[in-house]
Amino acid sequence: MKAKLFRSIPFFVASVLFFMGCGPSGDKREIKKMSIVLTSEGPLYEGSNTATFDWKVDFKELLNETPKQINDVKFTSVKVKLDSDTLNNMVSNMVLQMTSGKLDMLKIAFLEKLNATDASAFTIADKQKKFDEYFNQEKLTFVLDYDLKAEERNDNLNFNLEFDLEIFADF
Amino acid sequence: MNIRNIIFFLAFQTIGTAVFSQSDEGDRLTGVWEPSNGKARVKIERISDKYYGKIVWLRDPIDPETNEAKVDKNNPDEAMRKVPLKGYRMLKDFTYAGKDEWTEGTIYDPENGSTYSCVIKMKDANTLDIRGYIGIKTFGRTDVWKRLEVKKKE
Repeated sequence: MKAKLFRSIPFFVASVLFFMGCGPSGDKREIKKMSIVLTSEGPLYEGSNTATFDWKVDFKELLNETPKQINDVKFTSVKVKLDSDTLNNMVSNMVLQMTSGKLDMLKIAFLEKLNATDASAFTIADKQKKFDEYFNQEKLTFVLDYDLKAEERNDNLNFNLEFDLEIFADF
Repeated sequence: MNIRNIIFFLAFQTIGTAVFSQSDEGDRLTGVWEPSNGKARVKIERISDKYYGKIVWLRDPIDPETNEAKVDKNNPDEAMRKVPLKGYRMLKDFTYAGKDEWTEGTIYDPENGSTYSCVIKMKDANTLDIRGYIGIKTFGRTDVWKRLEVKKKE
C-alpha cells in the first residue's frame, strides 16, 4: 500500500506542475467598473442595429504603469444601462463583440433582456482565448449588436457599458 | 510655398486619394444580399476598415422543436447558444483586396456551428460568388448571392 502511494507521488507532482504551467503567466491586475459609452447613430429602424465604441487602450492610466506584454485578459463582468429606463422594453438580444486592426471579431458576451431599472448583467463567453492580442493593440473597437422593437427612431441611442477585467501581464 | 512643399503636398494628396478610393471601391459590397437557398437575407456593412454581414431576415424564423425564435444552438461555446440567429454576424472580417475581391474573412454555418475561411468575388454589381473553404480554396463550395435592392448599371 505504502509503495503504491510513493509510486503515485511523482505523477501527482507532475500533474500539479502541468496545470500550473497551463495557467496565464505574469502579474494579475484587476480593472473594476471600467465605463464606456457605445453609440448607435440614428435614424434607427426596427430590427437589428449596431452601436460601436473605439477604445484607445491606455494602461498607464488604468494600471498606473505600462505593461511590457499582456499575456491574458478575461472579462469577469459586463453590465449595461440605457440613458432612459423607458427604452428598456424596446431593446433586446444584445451581443457584445470586439475587433481591432487585422484581428478577427470575437464575441464577448450576450444579454437577452434588460432589467426594468437596474443595470443588466451579460452572460460572458466561456471561450476567451486570444483576448490578450486585442489588448496589445493601440486601439480596439467594441461592437454591440441589438434588436430594436420601436418602429423608427431619429435620435442616437447610447449604451452605458461597465465591465471588470482580469489582466495577466509582464511589467 | 517652395517647390519641396508643393511636391510633398501633391504626393500626400495622391496617396490620400488612392487610399480613399480603395475603401470606396470596397463599399460596393455593402447592402442586403440573399443566398441561393433563399433561407436568409444578410446585410453587409463596414465597421472600421473591414466588412461584416449579419442575418436580418429568416424565411423560417421559428425553430419547430422549441416553437421559439431560432438561436445559435450549435455554437461550440455553450454560453453563446442562446444568441438569436436573426441579427447574427455570419460573415466576418473581410478586407477589400482589389479586383472585385474581398478576402481574409470567415463564414459561419449556423446549421452545424462551423466557421470556414471565405472569399467573396463580385461578379457584377448585383451578384456575389461566396466561396467557403477549409485550408485551400480549391477544396470548398461556392454559393451565388443576389443583391436585394438591384442596382442599375451606371
